[in-house]
Amino acid sequence: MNSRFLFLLIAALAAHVPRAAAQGSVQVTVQDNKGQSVADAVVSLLPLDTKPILAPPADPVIINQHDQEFEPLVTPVIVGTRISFPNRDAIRHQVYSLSKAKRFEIPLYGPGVGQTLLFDRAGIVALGCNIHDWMTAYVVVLETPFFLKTPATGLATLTAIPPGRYRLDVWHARLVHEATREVVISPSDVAAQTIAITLRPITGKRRAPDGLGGGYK
Amino acid sequence: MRRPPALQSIFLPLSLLVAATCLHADPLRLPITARMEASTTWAENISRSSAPANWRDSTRAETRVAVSLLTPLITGVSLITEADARTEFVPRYARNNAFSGSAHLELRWKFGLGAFAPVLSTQVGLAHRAARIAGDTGTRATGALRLSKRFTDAWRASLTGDWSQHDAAHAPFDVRAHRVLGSLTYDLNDTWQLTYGRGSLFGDFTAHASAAIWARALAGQLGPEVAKYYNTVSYETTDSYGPGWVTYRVTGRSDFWWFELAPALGRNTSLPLRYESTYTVNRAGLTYRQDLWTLGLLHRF
Repeated sequence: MNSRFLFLLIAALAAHVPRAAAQGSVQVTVQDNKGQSVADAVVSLLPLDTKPILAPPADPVIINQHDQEFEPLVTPVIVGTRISFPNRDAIRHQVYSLSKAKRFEIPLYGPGVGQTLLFDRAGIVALGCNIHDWMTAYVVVLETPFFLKTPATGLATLTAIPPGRYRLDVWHARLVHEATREVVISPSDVAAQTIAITLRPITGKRRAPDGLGGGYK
Repeated sequence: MRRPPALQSIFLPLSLLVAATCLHADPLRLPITARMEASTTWAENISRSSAPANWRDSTRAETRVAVSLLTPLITGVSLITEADARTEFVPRYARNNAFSGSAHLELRWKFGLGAFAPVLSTQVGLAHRAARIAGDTGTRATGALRLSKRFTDAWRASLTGDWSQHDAAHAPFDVRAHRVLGSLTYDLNDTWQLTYGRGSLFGDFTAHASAAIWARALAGQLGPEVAKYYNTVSYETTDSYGPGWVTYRVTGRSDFWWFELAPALGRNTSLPLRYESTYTVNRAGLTYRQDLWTLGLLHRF
């Protein structure tokens, strides 16, 4: 009698426990138009039917200056994220950006912790060093918590995505044409998307020393 | 005058010592940048002679190590302090070997932020030159004004005006000249770089002649204008390109241009190949041409 009552009590309680909504996943493969995997592409899903809840990290994201380069090259973050720019080199750097999403300049500083800045506007922020022309990096500020950066394999798997309609965007620093499409995420489903993007040839300000020059002496 | 010690015994190890110090600069966390250059040049008419009989061709090897410190002053303005040591070695005509050490100060104004902001820089320097030809040993003062601008990721241009004055032990080597030159650089990509430059030098320079040719010049056998001018210039028997060869100082103009292909071997190393051509006319109307092919190795620490 007591065990039967206990069983019914547990069953009744279980019926009232709210179940977590089933969530889906998206596996995105980013390739160039030759079929080669593309690294450092930012894949993001922006909900079309609901406004996402954004929770920027409590600690600042780090973009280092090391060996006269920015590390990492591409940093995707949520709107409202703080980013710190520590200088790990022995020489000075002067970090700046002229991008509309975040225009700033950190005066020349030596080894140590650089300033921490708040990135509160969505968009692409191109970073540079005013002393070393070849130093370039990008901050991709997003209005969605669903994003990843592709590794060398070009494969990004976004998980725990609530069902619904989304705009899938792919960004790359050398992207020629916009790469965006609408996808529908079903509960407990893994959607696979392969996106081919056209990239500009690699150009950049040369880092290796300039030549000897000339001139009769 | 006491003969300077052999270059190899002192200055080459000194250059290597400086380079070795620079190699360890990172662990020492010194806020300096260092640069090493080594080049070999095939020079046609290295003797800078107007008479074809006096043209001499030879290789010339040069090394340079430099360390520099960048100090910000106010927004957009930096002070660069640089010291360098340089060796010149002419294997076939070793009398022309030399070593120099110098220090430079450069004020650099960058008008704006980023790679596309124009840069104006002014530089002054002082160098001591120790040469195997004792009369060429002395102190050189330099000054320069340079404007440079990047127009695209690939294209850059610069315009330079500079001046130098060498106060040597002997009068034939006291030279003063100024130059105006410009260059255009095209980076095809991260690896390949092309540069074209052009300019002119106005002022004094040294040239060389064998004893026989020199005697003919002074005697008027190369023309009255040449004799009239050459009998007024400073000269000295230096054995520069052979026994009895004379080095003399003239005034004139030299037009030069160069073309350089500089592939990057890595992030901090490049291997430039340069062709340079000069055409010089002195006050007496005598001309000479030089063609130089240079292969270099540059590394930045």
